[in-house]
Amino acid sequence: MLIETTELLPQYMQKIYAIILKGGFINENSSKNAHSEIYNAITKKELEIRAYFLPIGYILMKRAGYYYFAHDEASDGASALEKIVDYIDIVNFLKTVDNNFSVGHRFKLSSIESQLNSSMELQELAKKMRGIGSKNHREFVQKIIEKLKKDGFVEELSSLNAEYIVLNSYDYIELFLSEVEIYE
Amino acid sequence: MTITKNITDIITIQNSCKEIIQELYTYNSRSSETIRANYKKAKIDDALRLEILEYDSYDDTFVLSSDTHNYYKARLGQDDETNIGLIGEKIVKLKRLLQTYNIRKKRSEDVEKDLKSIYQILVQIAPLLNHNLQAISSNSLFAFKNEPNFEIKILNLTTSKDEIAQLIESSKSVDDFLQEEHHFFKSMNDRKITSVILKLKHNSVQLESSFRILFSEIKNFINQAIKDGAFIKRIKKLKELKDDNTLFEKTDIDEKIKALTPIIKATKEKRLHPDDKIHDYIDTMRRIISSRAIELKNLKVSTPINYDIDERVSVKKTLYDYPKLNKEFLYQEKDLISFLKMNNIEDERLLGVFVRMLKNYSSQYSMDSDKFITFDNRSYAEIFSLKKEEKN
Repeated sequence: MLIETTELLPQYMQKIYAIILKGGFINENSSKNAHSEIYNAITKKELEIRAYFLPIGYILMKRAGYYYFAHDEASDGASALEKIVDYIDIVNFLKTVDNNFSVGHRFKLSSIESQLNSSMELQELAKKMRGIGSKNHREFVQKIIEKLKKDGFVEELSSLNAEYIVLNSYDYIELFLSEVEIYE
Repeated sequence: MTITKNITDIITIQNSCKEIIQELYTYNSRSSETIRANYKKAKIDDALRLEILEYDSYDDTFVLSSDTHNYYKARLGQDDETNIGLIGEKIVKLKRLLQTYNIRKKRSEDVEKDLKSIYQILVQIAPLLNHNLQAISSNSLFAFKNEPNFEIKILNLTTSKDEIAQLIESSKSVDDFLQEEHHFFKSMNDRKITSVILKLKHNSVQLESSFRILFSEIKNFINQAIKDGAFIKRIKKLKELKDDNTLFEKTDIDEKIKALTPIIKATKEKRLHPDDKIHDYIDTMRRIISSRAIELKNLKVSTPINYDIDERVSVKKTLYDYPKLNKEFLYQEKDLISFLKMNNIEDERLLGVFVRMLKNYSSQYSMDSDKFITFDNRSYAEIFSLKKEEKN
């Protein structure tokens, strides 16, 4: 396939490359950094973008409402495993807070904190999540949300009342965990 | 003692208390002292007498009477309580009224009052059906989207599913009733009743498709909720195995990880010189050289990226003469890393110089994408001069 790079979303290529370098997702339901604009632009030139990045080892992957770039080499196991295992605790905690916590869900940091303050079950779960060291409940919730934000799974809607939305990319974690086979 | 009431009095008293009603509707209850102090012109005692307001049964606070509360809830379109049973009751009442009407008619007595009662009940049926449809729809949507507790969510959705089935039955019983009493209604020859029956039939046709859609929506909500529930169960199990340290033994998580197409991890910047910004140089360079059509214009990034501290090489002020080194490299036989070693480049600067050469002069080099030379525990791509290859 001959790719004419000047016709290849010139206004977005630099942004797409910056996202690749950060290992980020491009979400349709994101309102930050023109992600939804980039998402729509990629949708129109998906084949060309995929072909452009393939020779340098970046595979454009599409899932429900988000894109991401993957390696064309095998996973390096250990770090990915560590990350996913961390997410078992986090997903379980958030589903216990609210079983609607999934793609598209909106939540406030303060409401998770107040639930943590009043629920023994959540406090027990938080205590077992040793990886997230915190002085108090607020810091614990902040650290979890910060991690989700850093990994590209949630986005802040309003800094005034710390309201967030779960991005489409959260499906990456849920899908993986739902495919793990548990031997009975 | 019977209290005499008339509509004008009720409206006048309600109007004098409208701000109190708004406050109590918003906050449920308020201290009677505060209310009396703040709304001196309101006819509070009359409102209590007419059961617009009430004292709370536990403390000395004012609340709206349930009738007043329900009235405003309905007017605001916030009434989400179903009352499907009322439809059946209305039909029973109608049947009784039709009998009375029939008896009077046979005796040639005045039936005007009966006709009015029949009309008044008939006219309530369509709004009742519509209200219940909306209430079930709103309740099921609320349960699906907002109910945080899984058991309660399923319970509420199942209730909505049962209610919609009941409502379909009730709607059918209305149709059956109209069908059964078809001749009877016709014989009444009352324009208003005929009109309301026509409206009811029209409404029934419209409701049929709404019932079908809502029933299937609720079924989908339940299925989705069950699927979510299965996921929650799975997560809890995975968490349990993790806490027991048997996650890897009792699941295929490590195999799944190996099979996973991994997300690119944040690429670490390997800063070799204050001006250098090369990302994952071996992978990128190897591919770029073997695929020259790809442009490298946008390789530099403007956003700040954390670099790996272990990979950082301190660079002293004295820099090498790269053009001279390159010139010499192009006219000799050895590969790049061996050439640099031969030119006494210090070990600690070897990687930096190697990358700098590659970055500056890659168009003049050739590289076999799979060959590497290991030196000092580090793999270097085997790079030769293109001129040397051309000579061969």
